[in-house]
Amino acid sequence: MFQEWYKKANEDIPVNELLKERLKQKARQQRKPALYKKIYPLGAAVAGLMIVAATIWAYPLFTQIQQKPGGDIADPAAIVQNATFVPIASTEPIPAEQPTVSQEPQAVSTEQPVQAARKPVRTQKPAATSRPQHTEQPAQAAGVSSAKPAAPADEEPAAPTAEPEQPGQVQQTDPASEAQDEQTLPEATPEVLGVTSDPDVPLETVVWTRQEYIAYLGIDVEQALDLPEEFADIGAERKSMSVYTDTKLPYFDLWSFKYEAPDGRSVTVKTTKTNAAPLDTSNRQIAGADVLLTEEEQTLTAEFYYKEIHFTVITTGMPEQELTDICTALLSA
Amino acid sequence: MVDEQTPDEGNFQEYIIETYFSMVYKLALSQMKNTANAEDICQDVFCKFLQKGSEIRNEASIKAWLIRVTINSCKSIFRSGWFKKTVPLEEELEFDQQEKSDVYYAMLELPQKYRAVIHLFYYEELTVREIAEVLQVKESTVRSQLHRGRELLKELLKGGYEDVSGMVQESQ
Repeated sequence: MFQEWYKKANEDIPVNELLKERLKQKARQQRKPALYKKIYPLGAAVAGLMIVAATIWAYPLFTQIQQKPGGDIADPAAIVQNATFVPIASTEPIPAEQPTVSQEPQAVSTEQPVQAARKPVRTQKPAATSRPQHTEQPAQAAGVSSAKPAAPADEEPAAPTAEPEQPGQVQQTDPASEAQDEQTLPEATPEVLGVTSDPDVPLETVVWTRQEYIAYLGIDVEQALDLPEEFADIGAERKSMSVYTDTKLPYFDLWSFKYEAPDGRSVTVKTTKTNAAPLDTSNRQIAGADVLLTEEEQTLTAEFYYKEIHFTVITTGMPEQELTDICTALLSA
Repeated sequence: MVDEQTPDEGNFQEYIIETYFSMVYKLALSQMKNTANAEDICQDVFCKFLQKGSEIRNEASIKAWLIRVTINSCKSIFRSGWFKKTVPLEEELEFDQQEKSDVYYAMLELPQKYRAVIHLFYYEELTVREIAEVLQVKESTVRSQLHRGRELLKELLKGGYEDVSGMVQESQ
């Protein structure tokens, strides 16, 4: 009796026909042609044979391309010779009509040849990255001009391998006009054009002492700072510089004057002339100069442009007034 | 063997769904006591069949496989935290005769482990050995669960359906 009634009860329970139909439809979608399993491997085999045949057929053609005399692929050196090189760091386009500047060399003092040449004599310089283009500056001491590519972000420039040229014979160009000159004057040598990918780049590595750099800078930062006695000088005394062989001016300069007190306070003055430009923004006026002052925890940083030099003064553990005093001292130097 | 009659794989799967959908649904309903959950179980079981179980070409094996997967799916839902935290909707299945309603709801009152064997024994008419194979338990366990389930049913039905005890001996 129980089984009978239980079976009848279950028979009365309706099932979800819609769900059943959906499942059957799903099963139909999975159905594949009976020939599919036979066609697939056959098609794969045919495709493989066709690829092999095409490779065998095309192999002699590829060999001929490699063996073609005078072809571009067979002579990669020709590609290098025909290439036009521009400075990597140059980010702003320079007008093509900018004329090539050539200046006659002037006499350089034989007593202090290096320092005389390092006086601010830069006349033209490609724009520094993310800064306004530094325009022509009047020559002050030696009148030798030299084209400088934009300074790289790295503090240490690449070591030069070029041999020195005759002083005063370097012709100043800019990268845009250089590219045109290479097309119109194919016989021109890289040395004449200035910036090239030729290994004979007119740069050389020299070791400058701090006093030599100060002489080049034109401002005695050490003397201007006049810090209390507890601040010890921990800055570098010497530094390798890449300089142009003709003018002895640095390709890129960045010097750090560092001082530290026993209680953790520190002062760092970073200077550069090759990457100097007036500030885009400022939030202070110190001694008549625009200064950008930023603060991060215990570190205060002041940036300003003075006498063609970009100063970055970083103090740690010192109040803003002391940083202002340091900036005032430097701006009065 | 089904494959002699259904050479096409798609037809074979449709045939299995058509034949065993009701079995799976009613088994799931006897376990879950809720039509929505039973339909979920049903869909889950046949999706698994379409993915994995279609390699089995023996119909008896497929039936056993479907029962096993249904029971396991129900157990996994019983174990899930989601199921433990929810209360299933109270559903009233409508039967045209009072006797049907009495026996069905009495069966649903049994604990879950007894419901499975009672349903397979009385509705699917599987033997104790077959139930033991499908549920992958010992025959003695099945007998014990049948006996206890029958005793509980007798109490619930107040002795109105005497053949509950007799079926056990007959099937053996």
